[in-house]
Amino acid sequence: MTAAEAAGWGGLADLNSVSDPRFERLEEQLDSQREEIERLRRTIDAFIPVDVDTGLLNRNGLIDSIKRACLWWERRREPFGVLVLQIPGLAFAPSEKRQPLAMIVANSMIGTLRAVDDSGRLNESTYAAVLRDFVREGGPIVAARLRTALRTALGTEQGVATDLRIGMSVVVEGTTREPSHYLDVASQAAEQALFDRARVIDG
Amino acid sequence: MADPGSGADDRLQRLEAQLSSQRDEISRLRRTIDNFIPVDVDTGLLNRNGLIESIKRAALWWERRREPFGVLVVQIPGLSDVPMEQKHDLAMAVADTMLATLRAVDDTGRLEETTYAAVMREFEQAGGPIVAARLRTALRVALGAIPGAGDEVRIAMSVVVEGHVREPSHYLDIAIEAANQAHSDLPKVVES
Repeated sequence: MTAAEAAGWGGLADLNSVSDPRFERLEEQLDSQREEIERLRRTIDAFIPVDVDTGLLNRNGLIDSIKRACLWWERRREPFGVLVLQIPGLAFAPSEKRQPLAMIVANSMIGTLRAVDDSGRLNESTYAAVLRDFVREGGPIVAARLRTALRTALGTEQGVATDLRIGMSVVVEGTTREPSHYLDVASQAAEQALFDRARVIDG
Repeated sequence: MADPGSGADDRLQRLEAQLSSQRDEISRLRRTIDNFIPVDVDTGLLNRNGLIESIKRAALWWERRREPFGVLVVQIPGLSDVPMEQKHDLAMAVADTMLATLRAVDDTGRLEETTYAAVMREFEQAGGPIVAARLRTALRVALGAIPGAGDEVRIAMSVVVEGHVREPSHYLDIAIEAANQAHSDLPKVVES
């Protein structure tokens, strides 16, 4: 008696599947496609500069924008600022409202900041912008305008806009540092900022 | 008694469904890469997406403070005839030469195997022939070791110095067209 006969029909089917070259070929294709998916995801993580939910820049894009601002600072001492906006209420919004709320914030930022500024999203509740040709004195003005626009836009969403924290690092002198430094400094400033008053520090 | 083939058929169907779903995911990821990635992964330069974004930024600065900009296109037809195993090294040689010759604030990219481009902000038309001559010399030196590769280097530029801005691809297309017509030793500079 063969092993297949001993095992009955179910066992025979299993043995067929193990030895059948069709299954081996399909399993190989699955493995190869799995690797391709991993490779493509790694490429996207490393190179894509856009937050696909909102169309704003993501962290990669913001870092590239800060790099460009640093190059122009080195070339002709053009000051720049990095603004970080935290809206903790966004993380507590119902999941079905998160995408529309993200778009409201994105549109408010794009509508309020200048066309030459680069706006981005770092995570669900943290947004950022790189402001070129920007001086320290402009910080509180931009922050106040942005806060008003966001409160108006998010006004009907209960609780979301009650806490808006805005921090900025502004580069007005010295040599440039790693691009992520300016984002980190502005994030820290936003953490420490009062809800109705922007914190602006030299980057 | 169960049909001996049914277990195998089920498994076949399951595997084929998995394969098809993976294929869909691969297409989606490739579309995302085509639409959003601004970098030519072979050289690390910008690709067409990245160059278009760069021209958009330059156009915004033109609108804000009338800062002129130029779009430079370099065609090196000899690059398509070099042996396959040398293509990547030569692409890197062209990339490095362009990065080293142009200013750090210029954005450099690759459109295809034989066509490279750069977006130069704060750039005047009079600077065109100077940049082109410097770039041609540097490229001929860099490609000198490969017979024929650097023999023909065609350079053209579209420079924006007045008027309203148009679609970003317009400036790239004009520069490509000018490069097609440019003489190997004489850059062609056109106003857009």
